[in-house]
Amino acid sequence: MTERLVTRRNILIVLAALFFLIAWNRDVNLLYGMFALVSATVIMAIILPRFALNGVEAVRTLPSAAFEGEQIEIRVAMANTGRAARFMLEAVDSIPAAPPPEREPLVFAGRIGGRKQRDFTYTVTCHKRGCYTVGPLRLRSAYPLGIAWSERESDPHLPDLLVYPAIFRISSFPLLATGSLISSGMESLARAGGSDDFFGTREYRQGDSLRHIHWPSTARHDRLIVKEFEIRASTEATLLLDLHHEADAGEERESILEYGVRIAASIAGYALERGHTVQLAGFARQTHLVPPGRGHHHLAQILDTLARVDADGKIPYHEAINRAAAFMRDGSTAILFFSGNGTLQDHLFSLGLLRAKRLRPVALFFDRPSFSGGRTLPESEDPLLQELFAMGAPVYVVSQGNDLQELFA
Amino acid sequence: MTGPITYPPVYLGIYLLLLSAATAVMFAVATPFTAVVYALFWGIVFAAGIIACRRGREEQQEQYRQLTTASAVLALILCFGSLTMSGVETGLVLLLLTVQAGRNLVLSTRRDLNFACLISLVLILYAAGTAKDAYFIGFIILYALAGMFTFMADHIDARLNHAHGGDRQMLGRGMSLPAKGIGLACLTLALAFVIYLIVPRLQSPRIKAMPSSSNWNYDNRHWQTEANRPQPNGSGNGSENSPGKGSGAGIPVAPAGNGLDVTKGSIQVQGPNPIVLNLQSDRPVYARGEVYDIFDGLNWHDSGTGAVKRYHQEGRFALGPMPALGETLQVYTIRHELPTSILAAYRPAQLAFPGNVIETDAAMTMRAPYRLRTGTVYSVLSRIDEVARHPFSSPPDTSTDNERYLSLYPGISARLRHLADDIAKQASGDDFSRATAIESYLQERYAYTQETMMVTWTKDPVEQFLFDLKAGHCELFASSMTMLLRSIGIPARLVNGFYIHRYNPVTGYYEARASDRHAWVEAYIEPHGWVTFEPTSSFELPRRKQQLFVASSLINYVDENMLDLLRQHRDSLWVKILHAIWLAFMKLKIALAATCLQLLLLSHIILNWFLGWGWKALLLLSAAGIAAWQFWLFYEPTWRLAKLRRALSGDQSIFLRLCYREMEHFFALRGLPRAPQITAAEYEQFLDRRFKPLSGHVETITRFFQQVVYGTEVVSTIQMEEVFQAVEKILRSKVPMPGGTFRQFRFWKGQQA
Repeated sequence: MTERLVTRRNILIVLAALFFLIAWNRDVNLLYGMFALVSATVIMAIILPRFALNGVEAVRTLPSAAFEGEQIEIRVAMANTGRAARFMLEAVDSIPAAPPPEREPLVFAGRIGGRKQRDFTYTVTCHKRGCYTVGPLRLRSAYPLGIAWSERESDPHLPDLLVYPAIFRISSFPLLATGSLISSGMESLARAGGSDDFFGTREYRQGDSLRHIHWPSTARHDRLIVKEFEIRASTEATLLLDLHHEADAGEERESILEYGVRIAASIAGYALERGHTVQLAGFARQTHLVPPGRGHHHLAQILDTLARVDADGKIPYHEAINRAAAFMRDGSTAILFFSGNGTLQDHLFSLGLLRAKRLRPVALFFDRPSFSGGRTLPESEDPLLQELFAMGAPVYVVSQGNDLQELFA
Repeated sequence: MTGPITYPPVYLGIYLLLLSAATAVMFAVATPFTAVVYALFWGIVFAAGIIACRRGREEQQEQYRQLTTASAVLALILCFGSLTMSGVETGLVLLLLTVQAGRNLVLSTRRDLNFACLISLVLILYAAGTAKDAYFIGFIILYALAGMFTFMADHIDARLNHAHGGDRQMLGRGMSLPAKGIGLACLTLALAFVIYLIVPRLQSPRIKAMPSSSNWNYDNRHWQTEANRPQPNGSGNGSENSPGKGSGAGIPVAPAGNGLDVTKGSIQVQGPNPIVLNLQSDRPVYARGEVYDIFDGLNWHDSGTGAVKRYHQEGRFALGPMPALGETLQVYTIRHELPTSILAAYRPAQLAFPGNVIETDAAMTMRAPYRLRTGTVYSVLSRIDEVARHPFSSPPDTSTDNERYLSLYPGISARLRHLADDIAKQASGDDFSRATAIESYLQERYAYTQETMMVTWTKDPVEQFLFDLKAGHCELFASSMTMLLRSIGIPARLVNGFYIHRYNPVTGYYEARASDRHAWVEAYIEPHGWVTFEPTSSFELPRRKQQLFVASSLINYVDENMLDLLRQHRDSLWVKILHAIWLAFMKLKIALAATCLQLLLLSHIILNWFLGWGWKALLLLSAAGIAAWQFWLFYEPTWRLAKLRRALSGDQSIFLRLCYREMEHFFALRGLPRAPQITAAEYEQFLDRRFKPLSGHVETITRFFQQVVYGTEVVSTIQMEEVFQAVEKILRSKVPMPGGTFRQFRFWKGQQA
């Protein structure tokens, strides 16, 4: 970074030189006096900040993880190990997770007494998900005149701050077997991957399988009693992100990847809350794969992975689908994130593969032009979208600026 | 640059800056009383503007903007009005002050602050260039302090605007500055004083310094008519460049002035002794006023021979051959009204005067049509050559009418002639030697005094002085020498003017007070021309003293002023106290000198010892010290390892803890102490980052240390040996040891507390 030329310090140096030249030319001693005063001011302004930083240390503590949009509290402790008091010290941190104007937050200590320590706290909003290295914490001072700065690094500790993607509330999402279905012939029982949970007992009806007769109750009530099961046709959903390096479009939080990550996190939260099994996959420079699992701990794993993903892969999305299909269980739900980067031709094989495996796709189709600032095409003109509709897959079209909570209401 | 100002002390700083600059300007251009009135006025105007700006509400902002525009218009009107009434400088000063007064109403951003700083800087710069009094340095210091205060407040304001946390609340509440303002100001002033003293004062090039004339208009239509030189550019028959040669150049006038009574003297200062003029020059000078050639025994008269009026539309008068570079430039500023004589060092070559006509005569006396008014500035370029430290005019004046300068007053006694002959006989043959002999005779054998008021003068005061009184004022000395010179045939004349030698190192100007009026002698001596002589005892001819540093001038100046002050109040109590202090100081000085002498003696003894066999002993001791240190450096790891080796055969837990402590100690000395809150694993990561070549050994020690502290598995003897070897590798590695690491270590301890 180039240093600014027109600074107060430089102006004063030029002024001092000017005073000296005028004084010399006109032999006016009062101007020599002005030269001396300006020079003394500049010298003091340069020397004192160095002294102010001498013997001062600062450390910062902050939480290791937070959610996108969450305010985190950062504590900065500044200690003066010298005997004399120090004035007007600043601790400047580097927090890349903060919004752009707040990425170098500054803490200002008016006075720190000799051999004293002072603690300061401030809050920063985590602007964007990701894994960030915070710091280094720099101490600086321009005491007392603000003309010249002295700066040095203080805390060698460079902690990581993991910012999870924000989760919005989803009211409903078409995961297969959402809700409870009683085994009354509404859905085929013989579904691979299905799981049966005990629901209760009732009297035997014609057509019930004899395997489901609950013999202890039958004996107790002296009539046939059968066990009833809650049936989930498929309880597994796979979130497959498009992490190809050309897939992303848009800036900062308003990019396809960020929208996708937020949606993926929210869907995962929704599904896991309802007891579904969720797995996450994405092929970036390294493969991100969270195996199927349930519960809050699993959500934490997914969020952790989602916080770190980046669109830097070389595998096109249709190829990613082909690869991911291998570890998707037959009949499960595949939640696909189409970034609008591929054509129908690219995806024909992969969609066929999904169909062959009886996977149920749910498509999130990103309106790419809206992210990249181009012209938005009508939905009906996109052949891939039409194909998805034809497959009977639920499709969500996401454009930049959409209220995601409303979209998934 | 355009950030808003939120911290109230910034406004106070701006106000102080503007007020100090405005006051300085007023004191530089006006009399003290008027300056106080003006400064009060501008102080109130600035304060009202800033207070209105601070308290103004949103809806009043538009009104204030209109007022600012109105003030700008008013400033222009005042400026143009002043241009015609009082001059360009006054007009521009008024313009700046009025514009800033208007802008104070809308003072809200850092840009406004910078603008105010710029305005004040221009004002103080103008004031510093114009002021002639030493006390003015006080205004400059005040301005600098106000500037520092403003910078400090602005710095805090910027921090308040940018800071996310910290002392925002504390600073935002009131006017308290988190700095030791007085200490800082004293430190800065002390440093500035040191710089002021050590900055070399090189020979000034004086670019664009000549011509310099201003403030009053001395045009005179009658003199202009007499000069008969209406040409606008001064060109014509060249009479301006050849004074006294006639050729219709000017009109002779009657002898000027009422003459000079030698018994009264020219120094008649009663009460205060004000500065009557300031001179900017690179040397002290004798500024000639009137030159007298006719003496009647009691009074001196100027015959006015060769008087001509000279005209130049712009007041640039060429009085002699065009001067070369390095001639003595003098810029005179009149502080009290003076007679019509235009003061200048002999011999003036060029004059820049704020009038289009002057009068000169054969003796190069210059006169203005009117008395010189307060505030008049004019500049003269004089050619000053020296022979045996005596200034003389060069080239010699070939048109000199020596008869006038050889005439003696009627009734001059033979005793005086004999005295002159006696003195002259003691010198070598040439006129210059004889003249200097007379000068020395008077200087050495006669006393200077102004206490001649009570003397009853005879009809021949010169002889009374020479033979009876043997003490007197400068006119008596000068008259006596003139008569003595004339009596031995050397043309001479008496010159009256100012002995300008009081250099004020604070302002850089020479100051001439009313008491500096003086009379001296000019004698015509071939081949030099008119040579200046100083017969008055306790006076010496002015000499150029090029001083590289101002310190000695400053000491002399303070010394002179202090002595003057002490002489005036010699009977007062504080002078007696000062005298006692001075005596004590002198005793202390003597004691210190004695101590220094003893120390010097001691140092000589030590030096002798050192040159004898001391250096060998010192060399031996140094070598032994270095060897001991190297020995320690080499064997310290061995010693530590021996300690560990002993522990190796004991409890494995103690051994591993000792190993880990040794490792911690090693890296703490090298700038990476382990903070209490940092786990062993984290510490290992830090060390891995900083000391890559040792990372394997660190990992080994950490692993087994954790195993023994937190785990349940027993560490085998082979593993303990492995740890020992890792510690040995670390201790014997050549990792540099930076300084200041213990402080950091203490800080981490403090953190935990």
